[in-house]
Amino acid sequence: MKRLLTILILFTACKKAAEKKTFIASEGDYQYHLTIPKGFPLPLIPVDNELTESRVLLGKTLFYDPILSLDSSVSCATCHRLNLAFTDGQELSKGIVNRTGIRNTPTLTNIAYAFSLMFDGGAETLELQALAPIADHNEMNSDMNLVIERLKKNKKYISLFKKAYQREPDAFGITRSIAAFQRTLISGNSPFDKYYFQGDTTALSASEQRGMKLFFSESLACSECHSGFNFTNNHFENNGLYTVYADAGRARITNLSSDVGKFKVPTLRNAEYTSPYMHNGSFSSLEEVIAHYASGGKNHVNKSVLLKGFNISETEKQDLIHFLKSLSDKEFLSNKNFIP
Amino acid sequence: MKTVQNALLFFLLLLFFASCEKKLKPPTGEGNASFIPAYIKLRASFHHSGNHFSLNQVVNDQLGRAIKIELLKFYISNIHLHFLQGGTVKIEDVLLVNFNQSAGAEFLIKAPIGTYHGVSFGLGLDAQQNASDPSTFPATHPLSVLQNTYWTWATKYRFIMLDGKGDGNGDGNLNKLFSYHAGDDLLYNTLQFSTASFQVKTKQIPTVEIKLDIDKIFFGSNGVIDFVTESSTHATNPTAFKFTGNFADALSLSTY
Ligand code: HEC
Ligand code: HEC
Repeated sequence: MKRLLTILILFTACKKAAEKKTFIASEGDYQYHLTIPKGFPLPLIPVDNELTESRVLLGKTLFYDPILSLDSSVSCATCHRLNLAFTDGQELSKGIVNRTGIRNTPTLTNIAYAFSLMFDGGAETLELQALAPIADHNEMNSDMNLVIERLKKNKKYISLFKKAYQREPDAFGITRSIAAFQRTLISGNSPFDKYYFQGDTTALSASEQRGMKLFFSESLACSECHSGFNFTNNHFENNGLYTVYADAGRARITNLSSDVGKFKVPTLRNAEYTSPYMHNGSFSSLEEVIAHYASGGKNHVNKSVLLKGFNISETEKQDLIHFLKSLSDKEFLSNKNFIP
Repeated sequence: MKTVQNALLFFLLLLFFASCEKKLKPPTGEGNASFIPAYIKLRASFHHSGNHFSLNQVVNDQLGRAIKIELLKFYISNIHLHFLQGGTVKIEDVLLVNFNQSAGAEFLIKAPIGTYHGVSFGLGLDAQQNASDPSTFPATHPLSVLQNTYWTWATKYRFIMLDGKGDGNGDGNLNKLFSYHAGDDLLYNTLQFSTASFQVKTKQIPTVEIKLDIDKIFFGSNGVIDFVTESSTHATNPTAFKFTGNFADALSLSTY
């Protein structure tokens, strides 16, 4: 019921595009105004973490603050950089004292809509996910006890936590607020969106339109996995990268041999900015990615039957790349609301 | 004849009720002026070759190699006492035994007055507990993220954590690290112990002691774990099963 209410509130909030603020009495704060792009559904917001202005502000402040890492050198934004659609341009992420992590930093574009998090689906909610980088040896290598101790000594944070969650700095407020901020990272104003959802027939060039047809074609099958408004079916798939996987992918969590080499299908929004690609950053360009899919990939028992390989001309390759780049949302990449 | 039948029915009904799990009254005794809380003391202790031993103490393993344990924590959950006359009562949802904290191995738990002859508990956390969000608990709660038992990459809890060092090559240095962390719904086991009968009453607090025999962890009923060749566990790999199985068998229980 409460969820329905949230949805209703959200719905009315976005109907009235005007900046009229909605006060949520139970939270003692104003509703954060989420603009839902045309063609997008409403994201699910957990009932214990309604989006309010002060929660998003606290989460944003923490996201950019190295206070969360052991030696105060690394923040979430060290790896998740706005101008790269919240990735870092590295093959494998680099964390505290330049330690190399085990995977490529994924984009946080439209992360509010993800069904599960991490390449292997190890976390189900953004609230739970937030604990991982703080504790991870290669990322922030920190300890929640220490983080809380530091935050409790900081006047700014004491008042931000009080306003946002009516409590002292603690793990609850940290995880809730960081999740709240990340739910605001919505991107839906790319040329593709203008063309497809907003009725602007001039928004895509002829080449981009041809690329779109290829992308959605049965022979290329991209849209079987990269489907829907966010270009992901939210499943775990083996897209034929290796015959032997160094990273077990989904099987790391499930321990099932049928999950070896399966990774979460990523959104392709802003992919122009998220290179290098794949869980280990093994492809440096979209050209390489397309060459991989065209080849049909390497043999593996778990490889998806959709990876059949295809033959397209050089122009068609360029068309496909132009289409992928039409998913870039320049407004998102420079959105001032996403920086403190 | 009818009375015999009725008596039998009555008896069966009684049996039925007695075998159902009894709900513990709220320990505050609210609305029940005559409620007087009674307690048991639950303590966990650590043994090697029949002797008490503590963390960071160097001992020899079954192959005569020096080892020391530096960290040892484990969850026990759904702790039940077994009434002598049948039936059980749950006295605690979850405890974290932590030998690294002086207070972490001894617990005073409210229990109903009665005579008992057994104890059972789960080693680890049940599926519901394991699915908890650790940031929602107060700092001192066993399931709080601040206990450093949560596996953030898998978003579940480690049921057992045992870290230490050993002298793997006989050079006199304890420099081979080992680290056994196990936790998964599949690894949850309920253990049941019969004991001599003991009474819980006011002004008499019986002690239930859980003894952990370190030798049996490494040389146990589920197989040998050699800290040199099998120095760590990962998720639910075979070592995690062997380790958890041995750990369960390494626990014994006595009351006094
Ligand atoms: C050292 C670099 C680094 C830092 C610092 C870092 N991350 Fe990440 N982030 C990663 C990598 C690498 C992954 C992929 C991990 C995996 O799949 O195992 C990731 C994954 C994620 C995901 C899941 C995305 C998806 O599509 O499933 C979220 C959400 C996230 N990080 C948020 C954060 C937050 C919040 C912080 C700060 C508290 C943070 N990250 C700090 C590198 C980093
Ligand atoms: C069987 C499902 C499947 C099909 C079909 C598929 N992909 Fe993918 N795609 C994936 C998965 C899974 C990943 C992530 C793999 C990893 O992380 O190692 C991925 C990753 C990508 C990436 C990298 C994104 C990033 O940020 O790292 C791009 C780009 C991409 N795919 C484009 C395409 C195109 C173009 C097509 C069609 C030619 C296509 N995909 C077809 C499943 C699929």
